[in-house]
Amino acid sequence: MKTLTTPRPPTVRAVPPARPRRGRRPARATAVWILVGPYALFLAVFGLAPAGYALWTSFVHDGSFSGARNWTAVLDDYRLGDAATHVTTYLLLWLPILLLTVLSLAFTLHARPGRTSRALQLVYYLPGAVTGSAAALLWLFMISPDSSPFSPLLKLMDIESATDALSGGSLIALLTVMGVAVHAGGWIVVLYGALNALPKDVLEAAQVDGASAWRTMWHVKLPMVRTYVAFVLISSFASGSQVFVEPTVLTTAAPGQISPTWSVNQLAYVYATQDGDFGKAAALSLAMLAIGLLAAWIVITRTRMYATNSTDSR
Amino acid sequence: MKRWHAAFLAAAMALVLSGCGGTGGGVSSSGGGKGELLVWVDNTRMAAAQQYKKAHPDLKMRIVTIPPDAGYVPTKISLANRTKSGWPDVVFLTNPAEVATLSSEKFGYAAPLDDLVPASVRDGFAPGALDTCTFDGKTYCLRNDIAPTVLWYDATLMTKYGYQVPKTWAEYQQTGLKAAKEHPGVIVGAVNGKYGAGTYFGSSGCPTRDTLSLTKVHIDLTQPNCTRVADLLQPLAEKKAITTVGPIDPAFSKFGKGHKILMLPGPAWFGDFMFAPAFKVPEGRIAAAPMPTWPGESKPYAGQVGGGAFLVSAHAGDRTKDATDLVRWMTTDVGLQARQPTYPAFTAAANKWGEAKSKDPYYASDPMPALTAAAGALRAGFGAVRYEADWQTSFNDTLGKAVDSGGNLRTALDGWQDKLEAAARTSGYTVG
Amino acid sequence: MSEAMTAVSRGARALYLLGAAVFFGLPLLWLLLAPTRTADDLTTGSPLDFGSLGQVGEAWSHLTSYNDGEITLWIGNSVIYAAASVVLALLLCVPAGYVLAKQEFAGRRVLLTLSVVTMIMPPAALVLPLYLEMSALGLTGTVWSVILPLSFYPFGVYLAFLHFQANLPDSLLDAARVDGASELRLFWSVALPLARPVIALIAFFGFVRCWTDFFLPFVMLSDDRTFTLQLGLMSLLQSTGAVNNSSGFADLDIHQPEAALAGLVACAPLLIGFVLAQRFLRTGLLAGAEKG
Repeated sequence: MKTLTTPRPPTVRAVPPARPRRGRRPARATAVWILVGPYALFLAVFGLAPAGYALWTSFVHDGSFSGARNWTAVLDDYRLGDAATHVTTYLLLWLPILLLTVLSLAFTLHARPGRTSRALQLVYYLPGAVTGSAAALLWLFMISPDSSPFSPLLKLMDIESATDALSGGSLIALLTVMGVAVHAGGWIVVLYGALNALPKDVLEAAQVDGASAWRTMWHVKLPMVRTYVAFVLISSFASGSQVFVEPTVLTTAAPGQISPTWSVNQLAYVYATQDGDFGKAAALSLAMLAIGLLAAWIVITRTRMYATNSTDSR
Repeated sequence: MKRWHAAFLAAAMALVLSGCGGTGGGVSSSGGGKGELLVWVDNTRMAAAQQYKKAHPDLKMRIVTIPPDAGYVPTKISLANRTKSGWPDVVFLTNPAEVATLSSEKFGYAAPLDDLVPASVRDGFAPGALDTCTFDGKTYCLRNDIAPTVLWYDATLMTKYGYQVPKTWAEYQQTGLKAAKEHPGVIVGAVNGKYGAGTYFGSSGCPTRDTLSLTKVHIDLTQPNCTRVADLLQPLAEKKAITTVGPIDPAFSKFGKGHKILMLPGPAWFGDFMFAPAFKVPEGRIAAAPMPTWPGESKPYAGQVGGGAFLVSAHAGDRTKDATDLVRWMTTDVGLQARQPTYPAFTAAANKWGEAKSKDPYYASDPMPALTAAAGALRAGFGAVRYEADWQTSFNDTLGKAVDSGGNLRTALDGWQDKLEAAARTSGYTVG
Repeated sequence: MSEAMTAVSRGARALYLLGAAVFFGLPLLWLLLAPTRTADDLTTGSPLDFGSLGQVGEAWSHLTSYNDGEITLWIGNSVIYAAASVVLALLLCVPAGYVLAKQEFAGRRVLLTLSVVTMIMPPAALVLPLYLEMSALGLTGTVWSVILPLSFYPFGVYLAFLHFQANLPDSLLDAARVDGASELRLFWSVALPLARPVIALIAFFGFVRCWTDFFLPFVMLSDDRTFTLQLGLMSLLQSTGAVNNSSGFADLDIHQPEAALAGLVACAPLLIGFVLAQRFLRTGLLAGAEKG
């Protein structure tokens, strides 16, 4: 930590101590930057600088500037079409189901907070806590009809072996279920926390009005946590369109069954790792980023997420 | 006005940053620094490396365990290439196909060993074992172990059903069809990923990955060497005598436990690492025979499914000799290799290794004659390629699917051809 | 009539929550039972069998047979990496989130936007730049190469931002300003006391991220002795072919039960962290502190 704290103070002081602007006190701007400055520094060093460098590498091939070469090479890659189709299908299935699961469970839990509700949140979070090779083991056995506690379900789907489960149409269904199981718990906690933090008097007022639980949820609670929902939406859209962990886990569980470039993000990883081609990895990653940002922009403008209280009061 | 503040701040931060960069400096030597020999091996090879270190107290040596993850070594090497530092001097590859990546011009990591390892030593390896390591006449690695395929079979079942172990592929097909008819549920093979592609197509000499150089590969699935495999499997698929369930799928143990595996052509290591631990086949049943032969050929040829390799870094500098000595010892020391888990690539070591295997009570009969013959008859034209992963999945997508759905396997070959060509081109090969 | 309706809706609610609990809980129940069973029993026995507790101890001793108990070293590493990153991330996120939510200043929108950009940036693009940065600083392979990038946590800033935006009324700040409190003082004595739940959330999610992050340590660390638990376990389980027999032939008794136990060890801290975080989250927030 020494290395960081030493250079930091000069940086902060280097900011002209906020000259009075429209009669504001200079101390205010100084305070603002003292509080946000360290984060801004980390943002620059570990966020922007790498992103900028990635943008640059996406235009470089074999050490020299090559224009759009990496970008066209990525677009021409025969694996991209399949991967994009997979991811789109996955998003269409996973995102609505995830959102519905998270919202319904968080609101149902919040309708009657208490010990049971907290215990259930922990249960919902459990699958998300298992990661890496252990997740590969877990899911390999979950999809093996002979040894899975879900075997009646698998048999119902006519799945006779893990190989079976990972081929054809059942793969996407499986990934969706996995994706919901792994991601829902964390968001339920976030949303539940947000609901818990709502001013009690407003909720009590709604109850006194005799509004039904359903109406309270839809017309009172939901609008009050809309920024959180927007946040869930932005993050989930990005993580869904960059889906990586679930197919990779299944690849580790049963090598050779699923293409290692099943999703777009996996393709980017193959560029960056197996191929050592950072230019293409950067180009593809930035394209994914652009799609995520487009979605984020739509959500942010629709929900006026950035407004501070003062500007929001119109 | 305020915008300028932000800009100023950014500039100041950039200054601080570059300051840090200046003072930081960096270790820019290869290897472990301080002239240490940096050795990367997987856990299985760890004990041997430590034994070597103990035997050479003067040699400064740092041994690091690496994960056998596909892509780990190429990732690390390409990062090291960027910073011109941190290259290991010796690397063990669990996925020998990565030799194709690491010796490519872009990576430029693997050192050619032709001048470092005498031809007399290289000739001691199983014939064709070093083909995987060889491009444009240069040898870039030494094989640690090989995985030649043999025809594994259940001797008890064979006797019980009154069948003969097939000597030719035609007999294999007849036996399979007969078994499917008389004993439904019994299987005679698995066609899944590398197990299907390497065992059947690799042993037949079908050019799916015949590397002509580091940048040129020969892929032609219209050849008789390929179509004869499709014709062999077609009726077996229709009668469900072969399965597409992967041997590593827990469901495969159903076949083993139910005594449904009549035959299973597969790599040498299936004997020790699959039949008992994964398939749960009890002791005294499993035996090995040579792969069946094709018409017009006088002897059986083996395909390959796995096997590791050692590389020496092209950046090892004055540690090159130490690095080479280590690799030589690791791959050719008979005493050491005789104790390793899988079939040694070095022939003298393999013979010694086999002494214990011959007496292993797990097998119904001595598997060594078949294994030794297989190691001596590796089918040529099975090179290390940079599209290894796609080679496997594209097999499942085309032939695997056709086997499952009762489709035409010859037609499926066309699909596989297209996918292989696309994969090869994307990995920087010209297809010829 | 309405009594019956509530009973029905209450029943439906319980059923829904319970059904979800089964769906989310079964996988972990299986994982919890797996180390008590033998590898054979896992594939052949019924899915939710209980083996014996002695089996668990045996599985653990098998795990520690890998590289002289390197697994304990990895656990220690992971604790250090995660603790340092989380503390640093909290120091950065909470004040930043407060300022972004409650102060109008030039660069505010820019910071928020750039935070979203970096938050949803695919990691594959950042591999090389971060590695080169760390290499230029001479930090690759050191603890800092993992801790510093992980302590930059835009997601945490967003959580803090959303929290203060929703739960810290301007009037409260204005009242303190009238009393003559300085801006820094406002943060310290007005905002921070209200930040308990969000600190818990950021600490929890930050911890989860650091504990489970794979790619950054994968790229930065090259010596197995510096590995995190995740990275080490991947190495251990793959080189022993514990998950499936497709890779690795190490002569160790590490199979599926051992892999399951390793997985439990890896996820236990997350569950403990979860329970701890819940205690803080529970604390009601402002609850009518502001009138008017």
